[in-house]
Order: sequence, then structure tokens, then C-alpha cells
Amino acid sequence: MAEFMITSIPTSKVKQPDPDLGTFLAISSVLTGCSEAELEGTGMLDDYFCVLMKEQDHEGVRAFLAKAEEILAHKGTIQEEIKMTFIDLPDTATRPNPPFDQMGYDGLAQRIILLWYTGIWTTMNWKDEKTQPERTAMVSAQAYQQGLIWETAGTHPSGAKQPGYGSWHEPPIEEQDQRARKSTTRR
Amino acid sequence: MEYTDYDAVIVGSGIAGAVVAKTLTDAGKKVLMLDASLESGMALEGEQAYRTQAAYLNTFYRAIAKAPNSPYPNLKNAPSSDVLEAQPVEIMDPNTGYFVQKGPLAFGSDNWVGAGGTTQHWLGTTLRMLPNDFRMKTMYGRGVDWPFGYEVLRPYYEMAEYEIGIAGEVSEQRLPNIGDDYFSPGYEFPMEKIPQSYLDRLMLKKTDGLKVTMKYDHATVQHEIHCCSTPQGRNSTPNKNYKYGGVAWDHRAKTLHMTPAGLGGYEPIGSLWDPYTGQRCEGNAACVPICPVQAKYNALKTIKRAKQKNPHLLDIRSQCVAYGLEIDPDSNIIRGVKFNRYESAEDRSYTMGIARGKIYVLAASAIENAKLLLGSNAANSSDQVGRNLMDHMCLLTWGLFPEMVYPFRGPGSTTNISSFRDGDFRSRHSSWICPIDNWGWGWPAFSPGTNVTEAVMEGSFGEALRDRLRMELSRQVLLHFECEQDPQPENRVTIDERYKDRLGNYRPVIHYDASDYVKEAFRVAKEVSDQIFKANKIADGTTYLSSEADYWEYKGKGYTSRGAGHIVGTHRTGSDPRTSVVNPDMRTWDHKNLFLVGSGNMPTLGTSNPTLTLTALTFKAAEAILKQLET
Repeated sequence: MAEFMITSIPTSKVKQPDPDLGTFLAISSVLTGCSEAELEGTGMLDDYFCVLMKEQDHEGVRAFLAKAEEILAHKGTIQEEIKMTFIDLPDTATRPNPPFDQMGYDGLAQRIILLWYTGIWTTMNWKDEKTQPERTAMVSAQAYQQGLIWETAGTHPSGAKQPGYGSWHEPPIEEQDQRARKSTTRR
Repeated sequence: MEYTDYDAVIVGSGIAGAVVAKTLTDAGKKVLMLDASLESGMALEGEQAYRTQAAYLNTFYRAIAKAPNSPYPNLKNAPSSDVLEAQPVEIMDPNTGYFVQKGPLAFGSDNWVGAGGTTQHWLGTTLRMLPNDFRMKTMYGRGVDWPFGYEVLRPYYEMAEYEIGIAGEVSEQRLPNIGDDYFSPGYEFPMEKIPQSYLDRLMLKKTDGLKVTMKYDHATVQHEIHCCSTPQGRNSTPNKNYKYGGVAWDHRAKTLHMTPAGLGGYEPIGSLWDPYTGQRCEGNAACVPICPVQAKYNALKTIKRAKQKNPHLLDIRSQCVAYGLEIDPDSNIIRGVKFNRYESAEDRSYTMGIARGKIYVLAASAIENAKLLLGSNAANSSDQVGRNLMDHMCLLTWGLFPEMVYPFRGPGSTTNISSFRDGDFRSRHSSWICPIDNWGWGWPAFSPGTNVTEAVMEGSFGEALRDRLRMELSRQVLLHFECEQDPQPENRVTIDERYKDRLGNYRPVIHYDASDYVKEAFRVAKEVSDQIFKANKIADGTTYLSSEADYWEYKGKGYTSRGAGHIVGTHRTGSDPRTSVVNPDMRTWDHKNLFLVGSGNMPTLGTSNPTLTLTALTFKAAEAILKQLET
């Protein structure tokens, strides 16, 4: 058994409370389109913050978070500023599919979106390692199950959180609720 | 190391080996099963079985690509192939991976060498073959006829359906040219049909009964599409009217027969670790590669029942890799199975051993059986061992349905388009079955993960991203046309001294191609698919890229074929020892105490997923083995 048993060892925690954790949550919410409560509900916030801190040159992450904090303070223009700063490609990047490190802030915003949606982290090669190809890894079994993609698609992670016998014969519960609400309104 | 005094020695613990072991021990015979994989995988109950399953599941969760073998260990001492290895043959390195691919096409299917075999990752579709599948040469001038007809296999199909535990609805099996005795009078499946998906219900509205056109150079044929619910080897609501309670050997009549059910009808078999887990499918939507609750059948359930009922008659030895047969040079009788027993997955050290019995049964898969026979220079007077390797070559077509169909839920497929499974067109091109798939674009495009990547790379974020993903993913539909591959002697498994694994055993060297018979089916199937998409107002998303492993062009158009995991035909049964490897009892023509079981026995493939048929053939073989042991 021991030969192929993989135990999920929690990533080591950064010292808490970290002043940037709140910013990470807030910027994650804007980037993913999910409320902070939804993100916290996955139970992955601390783990993902650790992944970010552990994988990175800290200065790079801190710079990203500092910029994010600055933008988040400008209520009213948040979306535009995020787009300009983190999403729009710099002139030097080549389409299609530019590698993350050609994007603003080394594609941290994009990496964070993928992390929340799929549980997969794309390792970063800052500084001297830029020649190495980027590698992807599932953060943990829990990260896979908590991916936002499943609920977005109206389903559950394949192989977990099973909805029960025959559930697939009907639309998802949320859809049924919505239909019921509509028909009540009409009445 | 020597294991002796068995009535039968079985190599392999997949469904074929399991059925032989259970049937023989039920009849009082002493059986040894050699399994090549880890001992932990063979845990059949309680804490140990649960821990093994938890390890598989955890590995699956952590895999980036959830491929069929992703939950299971790929052992250096007993390697498995992996679909993820398949690339265009010209760029594949023969020194990596398991299969040595000689092309021209890459063989794009895998199986798992491990406890329970490929029933660990199978989908669980259990369709019987059709009567005309058994007489392809006579009816359509293609392939070969089987040495017996459907009617001979029918009682064995019933045994297989009992053993696997099939959920299905007999009255809905609308199949071409099956006559009125396809099912025996009053026959019902052990369990009620698995509910069809919401997606199926929406697709069926415009698809069932749709009239399509099949165009040929000098003819145009109209075809009315029919669909039906798919029988499956996964637990649902037990059928109180199910007639049978087991399969038993009649010592006097020298036949297998089915025994009557108890008062409550069928009793579903739950998980290995807890009989009350897995009593019904729970909608995990992960049948391939792993059913977390084991509501889906796997061969360990059969082995467990055998072991519980006759603990002293069944010995199982894990980590024993069979690599050769000891053959008496005068009589051609098999004297033993040679194996290496390794100590651990990491360790390359092993002890050599031999297992001896009266009868030998190779049940190691179509590929491994062929390898073992070729390496032993056995059973090959016909020169057919390893030849006629077949698979269902799959044409995948995918698109976006006009409304939300909510894929990625329920078993992989619950409905199939059945009307192209037989017809006069089989003289021109392959027949096909077309399952309606429930898991979106997962197979061809790795959805849903790739949809996120694509959207993010295009600069999408925030609520717009979420809305975009919801709209894309909830409307994804996929069809796959599983086209019957015809037997070709040059599609084959061979061995080569240059290519061996860590223990020094042969790696399979594979030559593989698609004939025009299949290619023509792809052409016609794509046109049929276009008509189905049009009728359903599906926005086509299908693309075939010349960089894909099995991309080819035919009559000016490009297609990518994909493997179905239906590895068939390397030691076919027949009535003539010059053109077949085993006789109609699945006994090798060359060695009177050597039987082969598994999908390798099938002379043609038809349009059924092969597991049910290979299981039926295995019951037939088990009956012959018992008869031989008792005379």
C-alpha cells in the first residue's frame, strides 16, 4: 500500500495574521467574479495564499498585492484599472497564448483565477529560471474538489460531492429553483 | 518457488480471470490466480479495501489529466499502457512508455494491468452483440463468421448479466434485425434501467425518429434514427421480478445453468469495504476512471464472492508476473506457468517461480495474452496470435446546444443511437453505435478546465468570465461514433528482443492502421452527425487537427480517430485450426490443457462494448474447462 499512497500534506503556513491576506481575498473576488463569502466558503483561502507566498519571490507577490490594494481603494474604477494593469497584454507579449511571464506582473492575476477555478497552480520562474518551462500541479485533492468551475457549470466535481441517484435526470437544483421562482412571479 | 496441485492456474485478475475462478471454485475445483500487480490492490474487504480505494481516489483527485489509468499505479515491474502516451507515431520514442508503436497510426487505447483489471476504469456499458455480428462474412462479405451464432451465446449472456449485475430495460432495446428471440421469453435485467440524463431528454426530442441521408457515389440511402436507453453494469433499483440467483455447475449434465432467485429478486452487490455502500449509483460522474462508491461493477466483486464462498479452493498470489509457459516438447501439453515474483513496487529484485495445474487459463488481456503466447512460442500454429487487433475507432463530434443541457452529470452515457448498429450498409462500411455523452467536451477538449484557461488567456475575468463559462459549459454536447474495425492480419501485437521492461519481459510492439472500410464509415458518420446537429440547432465546435495522434485524411477531408479502450481480437476463436487460435470452447488448438479467455477471443467486434461479450465467452470457456476436468 505504502508504495503508491499519496498523503496530502498541508502546505506550510505563512505567519498569521498576514496583512496581505485580506487584499488577496478582495482581489481574488474581483478577478474570479465570486463574492468573498463564496471564496471563503471553499475553505481554500489560507492554502492558496500560502501557495502564492511559498512559490514566489515574495517581493513580486507583495508588489502585485500592493498594486491591487491601491486599485481596490479607487471605488468606481476598479474594473477598468484591473483590466489595464493586470489583464491587458503589454505590447511585448505575443498572441495567441502568451506565456504568463509575458503578462503584467508575470501573469499573477491569471494564475490566481486559474487556481480558484481549477485548483491548479502554474509554477513561476522568476529571475534566473526564465528559461525553464512552466509546470502545473494540482495543489491538493481538496483544491480539485473546491474548484469554482464545477458550480459555475451547474454541476459538482467529477468523483466528489455526488448529487445522488437519478439527479442527472433533472436540471440542477439551482436551475429548478430559478424556474420555480419565475413561475411564482408570473402567478 | 513452486505452486502446485491445482485444477486450474489462471493468469490475470480482470473480469475473465475472475469469472473462471468463481465458476470453477463453485464447482469444487482448486484454483490458483496469479496477479501481476500489488498485493494491496487485491484487498477484498474492510479497512484494507477501503484504504486502497482511498489511495486510488486521492491519486485521481490530484491528477491534472483525469485519464482512464490516472487513479492507478503504473508499475515498472508490470507496466500498463496509457492513452496519454499516444502521439503521432513518427515523433514517438520507442524507448519510452509501454507500447512500442510502429504505426502508421498510434494505437490509442489502454488497459490496466492490476487487481480487477480494466473493469476498474471501464464505463460499464453492457450491450449484447447483434445476431448479424456473428455472420459478417455470410451476410456482408466482410471480416469472418464466428464459429457459432448469437443463439449459442444467448444463455451465456444471461450468466454474464447476472454476474456483472446489469441495470437496463429490455422493452426499450430497439435494435436492428434482432428477430423476436433476441431475449429469452419474459427475460428482464437484474435491475431497473439507469435514469436517462436531462441532456438525453433534450437531445432525443429532435434526434429520435430523425430521417437522415447517407450518400454514396452511386446511391443515396434514407435512414430513420432510433435511440434507446443503455444497459449498464452499475447498481440501480433492484428488479423484484428478476428470475435468477446464480450460475451453477451441473455435475451430471456437465453444463452450467442458472439457479432461481430468492423471494426478493435481485440483490445488488455493494462496495468491497461495505455491502451497504454502492447499492445504487450516486451520480459521481466519474465512472471512467473510478467509481468512488463502487456502485459500478468491477471484477474484484466477483473474486471476493468466490473467495468468501470457497476460501480454501481459491489461492491468489499477487506481484507475480507471468512471462512464459513450460511446454512438454513431445505432447505439447502445458507443464507450468513461469513467473517472477517481485518484492515491492520500487524494487527490481524478484524470485523466479513456476505454477502447476491440470488446466491453464490465460486471462491477462488481449495484449498481454498475445505477448505471453508469442514469448513462449505457444498456440501459434495458425500464425494468428497477436493478429487482427481491433478497437472501436471513434469519430467525435461536439458542439453547443441552443439551450442549457447541463452536462458533466450522471454516468458517462445513458442513451445511445442504436439504429446504425446493423444494416445493408455494412457491405460498404463499418456499422457504428453512437452513445450520447453526458460529460460535455471532456474527452476531445479536456473541458471544463480548458474553457477556463482559454477564457482567461483571452483576457476575460470577473463576472463576465463566470457568465461566459456558465453559458459555454452548460450547453456542451458530445457524440461519439464507435465504428467497428474489421479484422486485418497486419494490425497486430508482436514482440522484439530490443524492447523489454525492467524485469526483462517483452513490451508489446504494435502495428496499427485504419482500413478504408472504417474510413468510409467516418465519412458517412460525419455527414450523419452534421444532420443531427442541424436538426438540433447545435453550433458545431468540432475540429480535427493534423497535429493529433490519429489524424488522417480520406476523400479530401481530415478526421481524428480516437481509441475506445475496446482492445479485441489477438487470439480469435474459430472452427478451423488453420485460421484461428482457439476452438469454440476457447481452448487452444495446439495445447489441450491451455484455454484463453478475454476479448482476444473475439473474431469480429460488432458495435458492443466488448466486456459483456467476453464475459459470456468466459462462462462458455469455464463450462468447457469443468467438462474437461471431469472426464
